[in-house]
Amino acid sequence: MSKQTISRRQFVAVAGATGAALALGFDTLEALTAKVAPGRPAPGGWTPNLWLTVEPDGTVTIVSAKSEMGQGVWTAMPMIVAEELDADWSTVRVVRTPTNGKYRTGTGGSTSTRTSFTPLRQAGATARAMLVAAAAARWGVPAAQCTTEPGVVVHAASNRRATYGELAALAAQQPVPAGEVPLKDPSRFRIVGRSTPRLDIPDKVHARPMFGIDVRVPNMLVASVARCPVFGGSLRSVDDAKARAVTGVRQVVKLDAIERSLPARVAVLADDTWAAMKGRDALVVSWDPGPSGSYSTAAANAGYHGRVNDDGAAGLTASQGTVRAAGAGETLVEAIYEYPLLAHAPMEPMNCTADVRTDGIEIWAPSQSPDSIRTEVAQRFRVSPDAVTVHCTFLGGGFGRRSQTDFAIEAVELSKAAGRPVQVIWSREEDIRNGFYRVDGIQRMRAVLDAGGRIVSWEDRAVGPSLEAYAFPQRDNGEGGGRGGMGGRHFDAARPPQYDIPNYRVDMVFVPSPVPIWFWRSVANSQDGYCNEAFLDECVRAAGKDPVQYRLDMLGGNRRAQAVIRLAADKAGWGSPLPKGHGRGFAYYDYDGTLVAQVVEAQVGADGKVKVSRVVCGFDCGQLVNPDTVVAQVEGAIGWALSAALYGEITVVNGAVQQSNFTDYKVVRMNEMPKVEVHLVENHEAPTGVGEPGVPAFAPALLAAIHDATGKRIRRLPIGEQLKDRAAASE
Amino acid sequence: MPSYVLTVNGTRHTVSADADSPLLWVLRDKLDLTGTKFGCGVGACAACSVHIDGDLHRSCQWTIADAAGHEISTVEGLPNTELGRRIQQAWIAEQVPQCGYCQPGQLMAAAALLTATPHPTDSDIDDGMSDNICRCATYPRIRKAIHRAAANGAGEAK
Repeated sequence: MSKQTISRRQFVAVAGATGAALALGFDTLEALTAKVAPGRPAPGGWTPNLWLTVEPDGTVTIVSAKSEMGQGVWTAMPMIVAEELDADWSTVRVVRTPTNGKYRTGTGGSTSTRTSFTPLRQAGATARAMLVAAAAARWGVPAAQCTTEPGVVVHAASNRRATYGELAALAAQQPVPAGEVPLKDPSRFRIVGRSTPRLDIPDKVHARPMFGIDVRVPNMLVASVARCPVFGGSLRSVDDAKARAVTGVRQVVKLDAIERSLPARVAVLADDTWAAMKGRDALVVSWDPGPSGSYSTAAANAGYHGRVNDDGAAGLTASQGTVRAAGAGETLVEAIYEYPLLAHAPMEPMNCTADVRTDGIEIWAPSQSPDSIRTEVAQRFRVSPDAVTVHCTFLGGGFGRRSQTDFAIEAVELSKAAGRPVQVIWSREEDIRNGFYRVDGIQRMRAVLDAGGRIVSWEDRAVGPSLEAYAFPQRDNGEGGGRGGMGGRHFDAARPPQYDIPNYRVDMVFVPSPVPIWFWRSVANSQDGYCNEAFLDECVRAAGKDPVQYRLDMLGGNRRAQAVIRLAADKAGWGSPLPKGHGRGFAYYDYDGTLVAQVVEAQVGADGKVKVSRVVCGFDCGQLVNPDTVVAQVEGAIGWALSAALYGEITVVNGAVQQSNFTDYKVVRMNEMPKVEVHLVENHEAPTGVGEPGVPAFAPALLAAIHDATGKRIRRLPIGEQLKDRAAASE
Repeated sequence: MPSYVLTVNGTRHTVSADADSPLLWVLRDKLDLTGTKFGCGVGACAACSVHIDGDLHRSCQWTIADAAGHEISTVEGLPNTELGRRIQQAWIAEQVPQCGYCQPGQLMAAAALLTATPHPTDSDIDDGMSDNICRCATYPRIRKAIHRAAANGAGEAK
């Protein structure tokens, strides 16, 4: 994602903009909105730019352009603006505007703080400078003699003070400062970097309507949809007589598949959700499975093994030096690591509400990507983007799934067919079976250790479908993969090693698949952290070294990485004795600049069940914005990764997903959640991501702990039943 | 369509619905009590938890015909009791919710737990709270908030 900057011209251009109207057009979601949003200040108020309004009473309304899905942006983004504005935080309220093309609303890849930090600071600082200029003009003193306290401009020499609210109208008449306004020295931050109660939490604790599924639009129908279970299949026939006989059912609509978006479907529209669901269940549908009717993940996995071992041409390669076989006195370490398809299963089932009218299309979506919805709906339904309004509600979990647009396109299709507002509510079964999945694949890892145990040659041959080519068809490199390359922000496993290794070669072999694949919390890093770090533990053991010291030695030039590794190791008591039967494992992962070290303590019961008792995490994401939120995100990332490591697996047989609900797509619960201790590094480096980076290091640290406890190596996720017969587990 | 009398948070409602209508959808669609959440529809996630005659139940597994005539409490009724308010305050103090979607069910489960066991151990919390799924994994903070709510109620026993 490119950097966002706000030019002076944009500041001027938006000063009088009125594009941001009421955040949401219905009363039941009042909690989302404010009576006055940026662009519509009360008389005497002022909207200096896209991001904030100062009201005459001193209230500061700040826009959060990013989707709130639990990661705390609703609070963190306004904190950044308020910091440089020098606002009184108690007077700040937050609004989300409708998606109108003026904001970059996409929320994913742990990029919100990284990309917004500087532009939001500039927005706040520029407004502050104009408030100071207004005060200086009123008092006839040089602006340089004026300072600010929270919400107040002060001229100490004459002991005069004026609140931002009093100055708002006058500030609006000040020229926009030329060039960039100086920003605060981070050592003077008083909001950014201090744990601040999240502004959305009281409404969540009071269960106020705020999610997509809570939207109520007058005259709306509810839709429940039968979806072709086989990827790429089509509708053969449907008998809807019984469905139409259900009380409350109004309409049955057949919908064609949309490539890369939606399967063939039959929708039942009714007065309420239960009637729609009953109607859907009463449909007698015959599907044509189509060309993928014999696809299975088991056969695909066997194919991956063939490709990993044939050493044929790769779709993408990154290399340095020359990889080689083990020479005299050297040791070859080799292993294949495997990973399954995974579903997101956010707690709020997929849903969207749309109202297609002659004057435009209005959409209420729990979306990570309202801009994409606006653009794609405009293209698909042949209307101007300006005729499409997207209200982004709070999201009951996102995790990447809600950066897709399928659920919104479908709501528009159905509202158009019904001629009235329609809310589509997916069942959990549809969510699990008709989703977009974390990609499956395998990686063959090879390392040559010299006599001293150092890695002198590293090979990683990854085989599987390409997410980049699926998600960005325009970037298909003609080899079945994407052109994005490796390292940094990448979508396809694998990546070059994150350590100082003189010779390496990383190959990606792309195998097409009919399974829809998508971003899943931490994206390709979830495979890379697992394969690279789990295999590194094998190298460490083969070398007879200590996992912490071995990594420190390979990161000689990276003091921040070494510091976060030492932090986690020290806090965990690395090297101290553990109770019998317990094991300890270590992993480190550089997630696009966020540095994460984890120590996992676990034991394996006689029944093969893994119990994780403690996770200690060192975390360096640069400048912290809301530290308690960072801690919460790391806790959550570890729980997320634990679910995937223990249970997460989507299997496909005859082209259809076999799992259906939380009964067979298990996730961790309270009694399985370990004690998590998060230790944040405090510094003023450029901020990097928070929501995802806690995920990748967890699985390899857990597998290292299991090896430490039992001597068994797990090389296939999920762990599942692999430890049930511990004697049979492979070493 | 038959009609039923439901008592929800102390208020009587007469509702027309098919006998097999799940209480969950009656609450959400007919009574506009959207705090109770749909998560799985099969009783596996507990996002839809309510109290029926004081006991914790999943509203997706109760039909309106079953629920009629019983005292139903939903998350919207939580602030009506001292314990409910204490739990909500603890939830805010510990900054529990992330996405927040499962929290109504978590809160109702916590209220049932603390009613039965005013000072739960960690093991009691595991037993009382492990039906509820949170994909954000707010479990460590839920645990802390339950302990906090229990501590804040010490000696009051109202």
